[in-house]
Amino acid sequence: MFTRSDDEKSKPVLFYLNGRQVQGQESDTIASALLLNGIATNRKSVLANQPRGPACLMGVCYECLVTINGKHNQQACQHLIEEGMRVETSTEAGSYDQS
Amino acid sequence: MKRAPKQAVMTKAEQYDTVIIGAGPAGMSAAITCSEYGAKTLVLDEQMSPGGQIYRGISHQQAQHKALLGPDYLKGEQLVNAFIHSSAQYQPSTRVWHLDDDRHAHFSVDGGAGIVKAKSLIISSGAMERPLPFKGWTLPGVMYAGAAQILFKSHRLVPSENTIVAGSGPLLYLLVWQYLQAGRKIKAVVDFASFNNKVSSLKYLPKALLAYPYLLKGMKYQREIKKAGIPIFTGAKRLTAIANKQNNLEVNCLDKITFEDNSGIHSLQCEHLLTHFGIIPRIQFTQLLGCEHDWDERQLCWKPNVSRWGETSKAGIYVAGDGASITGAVTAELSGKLAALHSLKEQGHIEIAERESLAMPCFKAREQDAYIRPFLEAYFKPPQEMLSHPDPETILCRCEDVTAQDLANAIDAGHENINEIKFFTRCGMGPCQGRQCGQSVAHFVANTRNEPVSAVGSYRARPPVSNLSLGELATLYPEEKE
Repeated sequence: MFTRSDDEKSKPVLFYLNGRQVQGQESDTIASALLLNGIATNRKSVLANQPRGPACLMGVCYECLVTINGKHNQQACQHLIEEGMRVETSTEAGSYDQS
Repeated sequence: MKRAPKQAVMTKAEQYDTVIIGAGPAGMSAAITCSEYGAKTLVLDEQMSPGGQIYRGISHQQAQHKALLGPDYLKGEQLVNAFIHSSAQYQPSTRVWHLDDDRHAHFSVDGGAGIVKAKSLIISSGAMERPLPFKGWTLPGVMYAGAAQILFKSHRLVPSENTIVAGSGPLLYLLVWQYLQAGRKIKAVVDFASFNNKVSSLKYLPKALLAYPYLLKGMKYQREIKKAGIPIFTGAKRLTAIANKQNNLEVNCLDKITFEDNSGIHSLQCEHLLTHFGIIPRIQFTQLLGCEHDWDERQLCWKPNVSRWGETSKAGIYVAGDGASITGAVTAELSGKLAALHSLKEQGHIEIAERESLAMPCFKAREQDAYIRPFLEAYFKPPQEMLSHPDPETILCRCEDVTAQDLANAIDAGHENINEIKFFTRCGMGPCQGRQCGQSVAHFVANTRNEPVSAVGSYRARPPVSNLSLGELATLYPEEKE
C-alpha cells in the first residue's frame, strides 16, 4: 500500500471509483489515487485473464488502463483526477460491467 | 512562455521553425536556445508539466518535498524556470502519434488532433526503464523502481515498509536513500550487479575517478542505507515473483520473491517489488522515421545513429538527450543546446562562427561528463542470463500474454525474423506497440538462434505509435461545407 510521505494539505478532490466516492489530492493522477486507495489491480490481461496493475507510471506500459467517464482503455497515469469523475476498473478481461 | 492553443483543429499544418518532442532537460534546453535566437519554437510534451522524468514534479511541489530528492534533482529548477520564461510555446498532455520525413508532427491533445510542420525537428523523448522479464513480473505489486520514484516525485507517495528493491543500477540506491529522507525504511535491497561485471569495470575506474563526485555520491547513498540497517544482498541471480494463492486457486497479487546468491536460494515475503535494470532510449519515433540505429553492446540497447550535433540519418531531424544514448541529465542539457545551435545555423538565425563559439564549451563539458559512463555501464551491466534465458513461463509480451515458451515454439516452427515472429505471435501488436517487449524479444531470438542482436533487428514501426481514437483523428479534417 502506498501512503503520503507528509501531511501537506493540498486541495482535496472527490471522485467515484467503481461507484464508491473516494478522495485524492489536486495533483493526483488516477493511477496514484488508485494506489493510494489500496487498489493494486485495475484490469485483467486480455488473453490470459491475469491481474494487472500499473507498472511504469509514465505512459509506456499501457497496463494501468481504466474506464474514465464511460471511455474505455484510458491510461490512468496520464489523467489527473477531477471532481465528480467516474473511474472504473475491470474484473474480467474485456468486460466493463461496473455500474 | 506561451501556451499553444488547446483545441488543435486545423485543415493545414501550422508552420514552426523548430518543433521539439519532450520537455525533459534536453527538450527544455533546446527550446530555450532556439527561442532565444529567434526561432519560432513549439514543444510537444506527453507529460502534464515540464521536467521530463528526471525533474518530474519540480514545477509544482513544495520546497520541503523537493529537498528530499537530493541535490541533482534541485539542479533542474533553474532549467525549468528558464524554460517557462522562454518564448517557446509549450503544449503538455500531447501524444505525438506520427512523424514523417518532411518533419510533420501529428499529435492528439484534449480530444482533438493536429499537425504541425517544422524546418527542424528535435526528438528529445528520453529514456525508459529497461523491461527485463522474469517469472511473475506482471503481477500487481511489481513495478519499476522508476515508477515508484515517479509516485514519490509527483505525488509524495511512499510504499509500505514491506517493500523490496531489486536490480542493478544507481537508481536503486538513490531511491532507497530518498525514501530514508522521507522517513521510510524498506525491507531489503537485492543487487544483481555481478562480481564478474564489477571486475571488468575496474579498467574504466581510473577515468571514472575524474568524475569522483558521482562516485562519492553513490558511496554515500550505500553507506547511509547500510547504516539504517537495511540488508543489501549482492551478487543476486534468477529473480522470480510469486503470487499469493488462496485455496490454491486464486492468483491475486505479489506475495513473495525468490532469488539466488552465493549462500543459496532466498525467499522473501513482500507487498511491493520495485525493479530496475538500467534505462534504455525510447526509440519509437526514430524507428517510425526509419532512421539508422546501432546496437550498443555495452549499454545493451538500440540507439539512433547521430552526429555530435545530434543529427540523425534524416535531414533536419535531431535526437538529443537519453533518447540518443544513456548519458544522464547534464549531458542531455548540453546535447539539447547543441542540436538547437545546429538547427539555428541551418535556419539562418545564427552564422557558423557564432555557432562554433557557443558550441565549443558544450562539447568540452559533455566530454567531461562522459568520463563516468564506461565504468557505470560495465559495473551495472544487466544480468545476461536473465536476458537470454528467461524461464519458459515468463511473459515476454505483456500486452498479448506471449510467453518465452510461445516464442520458442514460433522460432522452432521456422519463423526467423523478428517481424515474422511479431506477425505469428502478436508480440509487439498490443497497446504498447512493442515498447515493453521489443528488446527482450530481440535478445531471446538472438540467443535462441545464436545470432547477434544487431542482426535480429527490431519491429517495423507504423503510425499511430501512440493511442489515437477515431474521434481525435476526425477533428483533423473537419467537414467542408459547399
